[in-house]
Amino acid sequence: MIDVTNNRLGWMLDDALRMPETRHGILLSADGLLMAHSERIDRDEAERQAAAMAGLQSLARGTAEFCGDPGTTWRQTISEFDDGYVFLVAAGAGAYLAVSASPQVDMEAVSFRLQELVQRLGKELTSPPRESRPA
Amino acid sequence: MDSALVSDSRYLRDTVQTAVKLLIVGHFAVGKTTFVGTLSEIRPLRTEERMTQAGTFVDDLAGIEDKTTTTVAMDFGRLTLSDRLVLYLFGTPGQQRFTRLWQDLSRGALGALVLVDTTRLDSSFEVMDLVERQGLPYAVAVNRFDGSPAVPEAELREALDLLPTTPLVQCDARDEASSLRALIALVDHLLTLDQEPA
Repeated sequence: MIDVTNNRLGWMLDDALRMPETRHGILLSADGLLMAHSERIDRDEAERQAAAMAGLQSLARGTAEFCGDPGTTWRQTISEFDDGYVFLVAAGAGAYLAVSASPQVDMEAVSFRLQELVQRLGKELTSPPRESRPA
Repeated sequence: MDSALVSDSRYLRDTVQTAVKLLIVGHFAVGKTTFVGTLSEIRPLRTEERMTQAGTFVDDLAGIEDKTTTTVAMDFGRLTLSDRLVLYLFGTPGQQRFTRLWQDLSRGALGALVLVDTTRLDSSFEVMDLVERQGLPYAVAVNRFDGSPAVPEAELREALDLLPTTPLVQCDARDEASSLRALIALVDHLLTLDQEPA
């Protein structure tokens, strides 16, 4: 399982969040556990959000049939609030990436940046075997 | 950032990780949200919505007429048992219409605590069936409501068709000490299973 306390990939999220009007980023496993978080969100909040995002993804996928074929692949869920947006996208096998942004954000640029980040994360996310011990 | 909190001692025992995901399950209105809220050391995630008239004939409120909200997605809380073991509690919705979400949330879970209510024992069968079909090890905790009848353990085991090895404990979801005991019964059970030869 993922050691959530080392936040090894956090810098990558911070790097992606250098674009204007973005706020926080978290990377989570499909089973709802936090894998990494950006600097300005604390661990407790990030863990709570990770759990919520996993539920959101599951519920979103449950609406596939409402759109078309029930087996169609889920790509992303965007939530809009008075205060801005939350983007939730697939980030490789068994992981999701969530980023929040202000209402003024350039949505197209964020989507592009997220895909870029997913590519980079993909290389990092070759999950270590579950039983591996620290040397 | 609070790094290196547990990273030096990641392993409680050979196959037990620092982070353990557990499901808190049970039928509609059994007290799952209360249970997670009682034990969580962080502000829990709740997804309660007001119950509407649409559910009048679906979600049976007989005996619990004071209930005004129901969980529509999930509950989440965290409990650090020791510096080697952190429990992540995922509460799942009790109603059949949320089965899909239930299956997704059970991903990566090591076990489940099944909350039951002695006044509605028959409502628990469906949930226990789901847990068993997911192949999740579980313990059963009787959430004692005010005025709920005390049923002898043997009778409960019989009614719920429990294996002799399945832990059965009593708790009050509003009370931290007894809720913690229920959760520890599950964790102990998981550790025991873990040590048995395959």
